[in-house]
Parts: sequence; C-alpha cells; structure tokens
Amino acid sequence: MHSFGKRQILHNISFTCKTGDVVAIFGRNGTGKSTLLKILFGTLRATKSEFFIDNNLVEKSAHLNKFFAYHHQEVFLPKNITVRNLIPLYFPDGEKQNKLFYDQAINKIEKHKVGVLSIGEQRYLQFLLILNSDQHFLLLDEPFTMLEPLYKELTREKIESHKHNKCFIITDHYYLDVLQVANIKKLMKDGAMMTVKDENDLAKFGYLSSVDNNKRT
Amino acid sequence: MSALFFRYYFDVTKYNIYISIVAIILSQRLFAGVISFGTFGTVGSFFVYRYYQNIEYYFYLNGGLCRQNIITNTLKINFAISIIISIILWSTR
Repeated sequence: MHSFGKRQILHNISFTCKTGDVVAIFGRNGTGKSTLLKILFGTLRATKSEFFIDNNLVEKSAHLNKFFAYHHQEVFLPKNITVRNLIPLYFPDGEKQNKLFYDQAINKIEKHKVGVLSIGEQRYLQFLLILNSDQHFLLLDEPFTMLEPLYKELTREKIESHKHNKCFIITDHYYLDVLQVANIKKLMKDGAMMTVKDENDLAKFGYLSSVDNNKRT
Repeated sequence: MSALFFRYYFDVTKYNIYISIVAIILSQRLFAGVISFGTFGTVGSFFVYRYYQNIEYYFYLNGGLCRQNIITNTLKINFAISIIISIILWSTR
C-alpha cells in the first residue's frame, strides 16, 4: 500500500515472480507502475508492504538492492566517463567485462564518453549493465523507450536469453514489445492490479483505445 | 572500498574542492579551506551532487552500494584528510 498525501496510489497489490518469469506491468500514466518498482528497489518506502523471497519474509531494514536491480526510466549513468572505463566499475571480473565489450552495440561505442552517446545508446548500455548484474530480480522501467528498432530487437533477445536465471518485471508503454517477451501480464488501474492476457484485454480495461491490428513495434 | 565507491567519492569531492577554495578566498586562510574540506564543504558537496547528479545515485545503488554507506564513508575520508593536513600545517608553522 502506498499513498502520496491523501491520494492512495497503490492498494492491495500482490504478485509473484519466479525464475524464468517475465512479468509485464501495464498501466496508464500515474497509475503507480514506477512507484511500485521504486518500492521494490527500496528507494521509496510503502506505507505498508511485505516482500517474500524464497518464501522468507524480507526484513524492512534489508538492502533491497542486493536482490533487485533497477533500470530507471531516466539514464542514471555518469556522463563524464568512457564506456571502456565504466563497465569495469560494475564488473571487475574480466569474463563479464568481455561479455559486454563483445556486444555488437557496445563494441562500436566503447571509446566514447557516456555523455556524448545518443539517448538510445545510453539507455541500451544502462540496460546491459542491469541485465548482467548479480541481482536476481530485474526491474525494468521503460527499457524499450527511445531505442531504435535494432536495439529493441537486441533488448528482447537479451531478455529471452537471460530469463533462465533471472526474474524480470517490466513496465513500458511500448506494449507490443513487452507483450512479446512477457509470460505474465498485469494491468494497474485505480491502484489495483489485474491479470490480462493480450491487447484485447488492455483495450477492454481502458489502457488502449482499440487494438492495433498493424502490430508495429 | 571498491572502484565504484571511489568514482562517487571523486565526483562529490570535486564540488568539495570548489567549496573549500571559496572558503580560502573568503577567509584569506588556508586553514579555513582545510577545515571546510572535512566538514561543511563535504556536507555542501552532497547537496550540490544531489542537485545536479541525484539520478546517478541509482548507478551506485545498482552496483550494490548503499547510499547511506557511501555518504558516511566520504565524510570519514574527508574528515581524516582534513585532520592530517591540519596537523601537518600546524606542525610546520
């Protein structure tokens, strides 16, 4: 449960996420999607909340960033550092570094400072850092936003290839991209969460005005 | 302490140095700058960092660091540096 002043943003929200799951959370602006992710990450305290990991209650004082990594909807990377110097800060292990440096998109930008990269490149780099982090639960807030089609495709592929040992919770208004990778789909409306199956349900509950038959991503 | 922490430390300390230089100029005393560096300069630099680079805290949190710890460690280091330089300055007077 969480409120901003008298306005209750979230109430009675409950869901589970196990390894291999990609949970999609849809919802119109202001329905509390990002708020929910920030509560899970621990940067925002809910009025009342309980987390269970492997059926064990996580203490309120626990550092949730040990379990959760959070891809913020804004770019949080330091700007005055080169990609080549940034990656080892997160991954002192050479093997993990190589994994990122050999990525086709990173390879061509590694000599550049983060600040001079396009927003799409910065966001994709941020996504890769989160994806390869040690945390088991990955909270992705708008991972497809502002990405060029090629990066979007890579992002979807990476989520698919990492889901065997991770649990993803994704929210993004690029719903077609999210629907492609998600196996659990939820819609937030009026502070509550409901299960949806497809675009038709999203339209039925007022997230979409109609179903886009062209299915552009 | 990790390289990730020192990335934060040097980013914040950059503002602290500016604040300490201002303290030296205003007071016309090197000692004031040194004291500033270990005390209100550090506190001030957290506010400046928060104002300009607040979003970057997510970078450190995702890297496994705790916001409270990196702030506390920065304070401790700067306070220690300030004490050491103060002793050196005092002993060479």
